[in-house]
Amino acid sequence: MYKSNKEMQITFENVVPIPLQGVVNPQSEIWQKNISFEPHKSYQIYSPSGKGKSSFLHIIYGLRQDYSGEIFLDSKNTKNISADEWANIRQQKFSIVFQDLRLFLDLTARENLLVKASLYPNISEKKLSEQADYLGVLHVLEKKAATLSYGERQRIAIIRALIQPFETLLLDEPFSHLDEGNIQKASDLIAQKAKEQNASILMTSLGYEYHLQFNEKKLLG
Amino acid sequence: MNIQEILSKIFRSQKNRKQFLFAGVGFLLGFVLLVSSFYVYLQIRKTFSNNSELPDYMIISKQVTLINVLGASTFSQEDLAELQKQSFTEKLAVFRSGNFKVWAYGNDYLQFQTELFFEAIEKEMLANIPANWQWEKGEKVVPVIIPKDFVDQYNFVYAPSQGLPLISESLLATFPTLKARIYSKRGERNIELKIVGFEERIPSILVPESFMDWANQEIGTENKNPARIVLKVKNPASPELAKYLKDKNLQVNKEKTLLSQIAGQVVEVLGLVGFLGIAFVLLSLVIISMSFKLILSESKEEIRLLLQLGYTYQMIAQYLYKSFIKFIATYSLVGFGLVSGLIFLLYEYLQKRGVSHITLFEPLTLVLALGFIALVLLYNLLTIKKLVRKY
Repeated sequence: MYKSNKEMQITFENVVPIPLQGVVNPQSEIWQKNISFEPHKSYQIYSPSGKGKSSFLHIIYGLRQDYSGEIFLDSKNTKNISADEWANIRQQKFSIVFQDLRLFLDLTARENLLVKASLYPNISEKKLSEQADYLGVLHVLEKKAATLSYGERQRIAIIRALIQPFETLLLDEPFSHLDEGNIQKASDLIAQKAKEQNASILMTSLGYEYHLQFNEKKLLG
Repeated sequence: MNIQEILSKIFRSQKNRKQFLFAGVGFLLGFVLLVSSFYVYLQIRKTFSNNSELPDYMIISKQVTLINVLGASTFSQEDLAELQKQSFTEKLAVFRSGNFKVWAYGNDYLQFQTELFFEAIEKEMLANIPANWQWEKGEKVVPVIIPKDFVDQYNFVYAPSQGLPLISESLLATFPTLKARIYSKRGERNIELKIVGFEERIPSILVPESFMDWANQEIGTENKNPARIVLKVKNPASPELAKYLKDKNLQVNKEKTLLSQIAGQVVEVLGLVGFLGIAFVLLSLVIISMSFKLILSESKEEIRLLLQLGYTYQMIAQYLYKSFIKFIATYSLVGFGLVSGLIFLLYEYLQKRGVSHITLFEPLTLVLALGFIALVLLYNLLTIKKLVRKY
């Protein structure tokens, strides 16, 4: 089990996703470079579409193995992390908002939140409802995710990611379908949750900062 | 909501429910067919193979040849004394035949007239000694034992074709007596015959020795040497026995009766049914596993997403194990209910057809049923483990 109590540092050594090999932008500050993402610091990773923003987060989150180079969580090479360790990391260290959201479309919005919440014994459903209310999706909680608009789903996915404890929040273009007002509210909620846990944020975007504050901005490609 | 509940929401989609139903029906079919045909097989085998091992009682007669056809086919006192001395002989008894003729008339139940032939034998040689197997001088009613083969032929062949009631041992008490006349040139007596039992070992119509003594004395003609004897041997497979029988031109009454031939065929057919049953069970096993694999592979995306959200393989596998066990347990209960009902009906049916030696509960059937369930569980739990790891 991955039981390190120290906050994790994420280190990239000369990493390139296989699909991007040979076409990496030399100005990239991440691909084919050595770079560390420090704990407690937030980073905005920006690039135009198709330069591997989702790949970047999926590689850190352990969903993709198709890259050259090495990635270390602290001193441990991610290629040596077992399935059980990944499950633990995803329960305790990393939380993610997928760009494609990845909700269970046959379940209601509330049940989608409970999929995550049921992993933790002390989550109150009342808190979830409050957050849903704050983001304006309280009225759709009992509807099937499949019937929700993309913007509504996006907010559900954000709430789901904020349920669990985390040290690093991975956000993959999380506001793409939200209007200005909702972006403001969602950013506030995210910032508040990150601050509570003294967590860092890794957000990919096309270059906008939205309303979050980042310590560094890195060009992906 | 706990993990189990939320997982059941994810996996119990409408589509999966149909698959489960399909798998369940496959399981039920295999289960019911296997267990009930095995039950019938056991019963029939029991009925027909009863006492069919090498008998340690054998009925011996002299082979009829050109030399002895004129009367030397009986056993002389010397013959008997010699047989008695042999190392393989445990006990020897002669058939005492009636030196008179018998004519029997039926009753209201069984309407017939026939000539009969009585024999008597020491009662120790009988497979079952009926409770009222005795006769004293002056009694009008004479108990008789008839060969089981007669009864079987009557029950299985004659009665069904004529629409007549079947005979069973328990029914004998209520059976009316048959009128009969014994006669010879020395005179005649009227008696009544009461069937008191069936004899599996000795294919003859038997009366008590006391009656035979009396009747032979009263109206019997000359006393003849016995033509058949019953020999109880220590070891029916002994080579000395075989050699002795061959050297002395003796023949053993071991030809198969009509019924045991039928029985042989029935067992063969049942063997074939059993073979088909096994093939069917394997098929249903495959159907169950296939439907379950289908359910699992249709849930592939859900399993992947759960893993991405921090669920462990163990959580998912445990849920699937539990729900599969619950599923099989439910259908097993239904299966046991169906099978018990079916077996009860079969039991009643077989009993009505006069098949004796059957029991309602067969421990082996239960063993087979549990074995089948265990096999289904084991195979599918392994499948789950393998598939979940693959995603």
